[in-house]
Amino acid sequence: MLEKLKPTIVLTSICLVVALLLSGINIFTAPEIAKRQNAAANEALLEVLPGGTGFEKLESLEQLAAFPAVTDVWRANEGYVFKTVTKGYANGFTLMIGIDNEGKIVNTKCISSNETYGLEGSLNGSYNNATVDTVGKIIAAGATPNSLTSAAYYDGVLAALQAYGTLKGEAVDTRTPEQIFADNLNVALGTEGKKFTRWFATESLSGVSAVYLTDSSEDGVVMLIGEALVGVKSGTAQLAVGAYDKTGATTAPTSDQRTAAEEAYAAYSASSLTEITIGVNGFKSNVLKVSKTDSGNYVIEMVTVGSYHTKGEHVYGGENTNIYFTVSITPDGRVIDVITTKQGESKNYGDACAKEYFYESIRGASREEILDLGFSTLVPEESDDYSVIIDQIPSTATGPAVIAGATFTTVYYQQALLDAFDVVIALEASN
Amino acid sequence: MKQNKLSILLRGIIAENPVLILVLGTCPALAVSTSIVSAVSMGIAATLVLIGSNVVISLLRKVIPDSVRIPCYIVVIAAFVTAVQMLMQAYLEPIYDLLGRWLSLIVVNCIVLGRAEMFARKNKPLDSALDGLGMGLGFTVALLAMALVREVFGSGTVLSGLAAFGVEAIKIPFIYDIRIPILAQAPGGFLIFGIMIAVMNKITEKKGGVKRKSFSCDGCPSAHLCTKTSCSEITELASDASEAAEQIKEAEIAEKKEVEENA
Repeated sequence: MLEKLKPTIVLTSICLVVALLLSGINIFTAPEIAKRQNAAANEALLEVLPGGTGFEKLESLEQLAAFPAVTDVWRANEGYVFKTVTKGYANGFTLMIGIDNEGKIVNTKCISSNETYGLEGSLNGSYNNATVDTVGKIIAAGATPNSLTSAAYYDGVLAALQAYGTLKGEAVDTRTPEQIFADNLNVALGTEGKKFTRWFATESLSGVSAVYLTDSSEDGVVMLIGEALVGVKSGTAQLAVGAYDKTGATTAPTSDQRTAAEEAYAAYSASSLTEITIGVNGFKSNVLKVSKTDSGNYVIEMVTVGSYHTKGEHVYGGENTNIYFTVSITPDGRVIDVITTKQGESKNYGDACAKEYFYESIRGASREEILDLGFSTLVPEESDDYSVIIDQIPSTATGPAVIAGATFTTVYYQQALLDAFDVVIALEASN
Repeated sequence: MKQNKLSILLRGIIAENPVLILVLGTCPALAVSTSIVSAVSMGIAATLVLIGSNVVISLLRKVIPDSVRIPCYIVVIAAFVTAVQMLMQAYLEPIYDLLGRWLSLIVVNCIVLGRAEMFARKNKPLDSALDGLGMGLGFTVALLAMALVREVFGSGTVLSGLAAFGVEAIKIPFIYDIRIPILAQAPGGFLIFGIMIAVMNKITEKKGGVKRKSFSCDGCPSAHLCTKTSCSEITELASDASEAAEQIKEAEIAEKKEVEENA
């Protein structure tokens, strides 16, 4: 009997002795390991909330269930540190965000990621001083805002700011800044559920950044003046609301807002276009249509070469990839507005050419500013020799019509903008 | 046969080098030999585990029954690996981070279990300790030799892996410019490994084959199927699979007949 039990007894005894010995070693090593791990964690916390003291990790995050990206929160005397996990090109995009007691971001750092292009490091710190109300308008520098990496970074920062507001007792509002903006467009006009499109500006509107319309002219228009949305009906400014104000509280427009809105409305209403016949000689084939406003501004419709990825292949040129855009330029050579009307670019790459921040980068630009970037000159002599421009634009490049990471789109869009400027120069010279 | 203490110690370094002669522990050898620091660190860790596990197993050799010897060895080896891990994590965290998952995989390193099975369970504690030390040194020397080639000519640097200690990797002038990156990657690792095995084979070339050894049947999972009296016979038969199957069948028939006759 004992012989049969001996193997079991011996093995069990060895296991017990081993467990005891390892427990003994653990008594000595566990405090050291915990000390080092705490020091490492504290170091990470201090990097995003410098000078922070009294860090205390929140045990329960039930209150923040609406923000699943937030995985850990530390409270300090000087503010909070949030750890968020979002998805960029790959899962596990982990950020640490330090927010002070006024709700402003102190610093951000990506501590772990599996991103394809490794751009996340260049985004660290680019949201400093942002609050939940201003973060929507900040375009992260250092990486194309269109990249999945930038989107993951933004999602993490936004979640942290929203979670901070919740911890401070503010009502849970999971709307993104873009959703808040869209809701406030309706608030400014007193409408509900209306979809707005931005008016392609053919006139320089002093003090007004953008005009938003519904599909019905009876609703009126909304002007973006500074940080406020001002609703204008029948030429009269009626209501003002903060563009990103979560509460959607309205006020009467200030006198400056009223003046700017009503003057802009007058210019907007009076704007009309007369098409200019393009001569066969003198203009390039990518100019489709040229029009002129009564005030002398030019509106030029262009087509340029695009590209996209499909099944691992990069396709350049061709009807399916061509990019159509319209640009309005003043007689002295400044872009008033630009809008891409048709494109077939790859998602989260070249399709940035149809995003608002891309247009914003071009508004007000001159021919020289675009030429000085040096990218437009990368257009190859031979139309088929596209390979020469690949990877020429640094991933951290910024500037008018620059989409870092989408070299082809950038180069050809910029070249087409230069061609549009050349149209204006030629037509002004002939006047 | 009494063995010379010095020969026990030294044979693990050259004549029976675990990596280059016995071809054991290949996986961690290739994985950590991209840098000199990680190679030496892994070697030292494995040596400590080898010495500790060999001594304990030798001390318990008359206590552990054959039928559970492998699980017992694994528990002892795992205990030492865990102890080394905990101590490294507490006091040498940069090295712990450098070795990563490879530290815990020492548990399944064939060298450790192999020496426990082949030497420690049949020899005294002191001899086993020397064997563990010798094999550990041999493992370290092999890893270091590979790392010297792979890091210097593959990365063009030395001392990479000490950044946590404030020591930056040193770029070797001229070699850094003509480095061959593939040597620092898996294909290059295998290439260097193969070349080193060939060189070692040449150095240690001797006449005669390897003696066959027989093992106890108690711990063998196929013991109930086996009809032979010693394992070496099965080894010969295994090369002719159909002949072995036939013999087993004949043994079953014979057994059946015996049962019928007894009935």
